[in-house]
Amino acid sequence: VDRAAASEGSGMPPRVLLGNLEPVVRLGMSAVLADEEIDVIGAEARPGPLVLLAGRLRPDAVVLDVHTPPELADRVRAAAPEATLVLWARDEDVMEVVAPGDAARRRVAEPSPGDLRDELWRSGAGRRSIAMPE
Amino acid sequence: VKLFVLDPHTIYRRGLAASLELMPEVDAVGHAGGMQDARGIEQADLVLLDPAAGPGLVAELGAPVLVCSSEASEDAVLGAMRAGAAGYLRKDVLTPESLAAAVRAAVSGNRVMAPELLGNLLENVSLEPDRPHGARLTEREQQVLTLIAAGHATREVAEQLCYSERTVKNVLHDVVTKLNARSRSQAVAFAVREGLI
Repeated sequence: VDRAAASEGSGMPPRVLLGNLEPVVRLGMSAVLADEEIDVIGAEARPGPLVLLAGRLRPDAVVLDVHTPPELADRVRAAAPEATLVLWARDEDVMEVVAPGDAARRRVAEPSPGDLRDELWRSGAGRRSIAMPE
Repeated sequence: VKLFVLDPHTIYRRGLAASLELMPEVDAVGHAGGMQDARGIEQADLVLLDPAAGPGLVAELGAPVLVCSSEASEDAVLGAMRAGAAGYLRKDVLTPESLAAAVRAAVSGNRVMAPELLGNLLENVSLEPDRPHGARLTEREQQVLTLIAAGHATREVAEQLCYSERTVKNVLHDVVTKLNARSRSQAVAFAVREGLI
């Protein structure tokens, strides 16, 4: 999915919440996503506050560490059921994606930051399109 | 102070660069995923290097090198330090604050070691058992251990000496046993100290 196709009809960037990423990864991802004009609307590493923030902000996507316990991922999904979960590995050797309604994670081996960008632009694209005033 | 980050992992590299740019004493931070894109690295006062960027870079780069890696084995750490690294940091526990402290120390000419790694290394030192007096290595054991001490991997040693990799591993196992060491690294350290190689 390329960015233009994903955002077609809305032009609005995805709203992304950064979760329990390592501090250096979180800084780097913020920088990379800023280059891609993707809105990082919040960042919270602690599990409890992360779940609360996901429920309050209702982001299009939440990015978590790939080693996130399944219980925490489930709590985030329950708090923000419309959000796509993207689980990212520090060494960029794997990315796992759970879109709303998906029962299982989809694995992407050796993802590039471009793959991450495309997943995030794909997240919530329909919802953003519907939300347009016209 | 001019710094350069050489790391093939784009997002981590950008995070390191962003962390370093927050340090008031830092004038410039360059970054690249590999040597082919590393313009300006020769002007750096310190290079932060993930060894995944390429083999042998610790020794080849002109500037002092602070290794920043996900690999935390004793062999990897000691190998990098023997190759001349100014320090070794673990990516999984690194924060912007601990990074800044390590960079300041390395730029001042000090050697730096992540506390989590230092604990393991010191444990080996404190538990070091008595070595056999008058231990002698065979010519083949000396050859193998000398190459290992120079930082070569088992496979490289095998190629260089025209042995199978299995033979090299057997020789190393014999040496570790003979010297009553806990690891290859300890065996190397003891052999160097005792003039056995």
